[in-house]
Amino acid sequence: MEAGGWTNLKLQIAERASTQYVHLWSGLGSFTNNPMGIHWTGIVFGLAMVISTGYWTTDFLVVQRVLAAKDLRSAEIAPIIGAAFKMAVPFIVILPGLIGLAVLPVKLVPESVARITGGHSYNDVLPLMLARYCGPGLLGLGVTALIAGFMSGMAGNVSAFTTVWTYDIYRPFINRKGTDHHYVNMGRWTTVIGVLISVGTAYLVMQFASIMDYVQALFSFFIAPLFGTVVLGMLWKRATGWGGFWGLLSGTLCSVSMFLWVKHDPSALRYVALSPHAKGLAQDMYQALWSFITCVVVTVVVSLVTKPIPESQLTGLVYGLTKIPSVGKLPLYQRPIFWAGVVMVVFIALNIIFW
Amino acid sequence: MISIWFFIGISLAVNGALILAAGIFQLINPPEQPSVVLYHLHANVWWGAALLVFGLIYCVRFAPKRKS
Repeated sequence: MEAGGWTNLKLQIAERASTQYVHLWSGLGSFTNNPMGIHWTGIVFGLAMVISTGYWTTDFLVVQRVLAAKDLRSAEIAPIIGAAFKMAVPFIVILPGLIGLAVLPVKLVPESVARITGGHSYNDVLPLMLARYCGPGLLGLGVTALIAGFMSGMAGNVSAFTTVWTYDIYRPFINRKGTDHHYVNMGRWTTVIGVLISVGTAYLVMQFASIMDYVQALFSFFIAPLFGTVVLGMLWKRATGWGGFWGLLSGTLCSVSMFLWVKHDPSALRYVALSPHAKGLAQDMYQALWSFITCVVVTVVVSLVTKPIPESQLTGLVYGLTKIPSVGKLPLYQRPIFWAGVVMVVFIALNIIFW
Repeated sequence: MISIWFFIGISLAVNGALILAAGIFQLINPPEQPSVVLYHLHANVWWGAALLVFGLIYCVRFAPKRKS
């Protein structure tokens, strides 16, 4: 309303910054035509194919909800509901940023610059917009909602960390003979340690240009190679344990090495992201892509030179050797495939509208 | 068993009542220099009323049923 509608908002952004801030795809033909300094190949293959798909299929925070579903239909519909809400995120996160770009009297700068000059960084845009529009009472509710959102994400991640450590690492590899009481205690202590590690990582975030840059860098380190391992493990019966191990390790090392290389020598970004005009987020996307490719290649090569696992041991683990249960006969509006179609149509429409 | 939505209704209603009260107070005693832009739209009143209405609907709809 303050900006004067979507058309006026676009005009103001064009005056103060660039028209490319309100487009998804039209500036991705070249590294220099968009604020992210990225090419469409980085978005399609790095972000969409590797990071996003990896996040939805391997991030334990997401997967644990599906694993806890009461039946197959619930498990299938859970990520579809998540995808529907995820499409609203740009309207909650990006739209306030765009409005801030148009109407805020201050110019927002990267975190590193803000620390030196004492100005406001991009990360401050949501609190700034809340303070700008919300009076007494409403401002408190808005801040509470932000903190609640943070706590919810944090709680989910810490519980995922605790579950993975206690169930998948500690119990099978370190102490197989513990009592339930012992494992519950281990889980509680791991929760405390997980919270402390989370607090520590907050200081790590300060080294990055923005929170998004930090998150994407972490995804490229861990999610991207893990996605390669999981996809091959699920779909290819010839994949072996050693193949998965060396693939995952080499993929992670590849990504971390590229990150350290660019940190040590910023001009190396031109080799990682394929252009001298690439910027920080482009590095994360291409880093993820190279890491995924490295993981897949190493997994395939090592698997082919190691002893195959008998098919009888892979039943229930590999797609081709597993009988997939049916969700049964359901009315159209209860079928996951129907809602997946609806989400897909809305997704395509949003991409066309904001092309 | 008391439904979780009942508690959510209480939370919405209480927050809504407080925000609505703050908005009405500002409506009666307008500040000389409003601290927010678009003050004339009185967002506190509208959002407070909306939260209160939704909260009350949830409170009634999911209220614990009495056993006869």
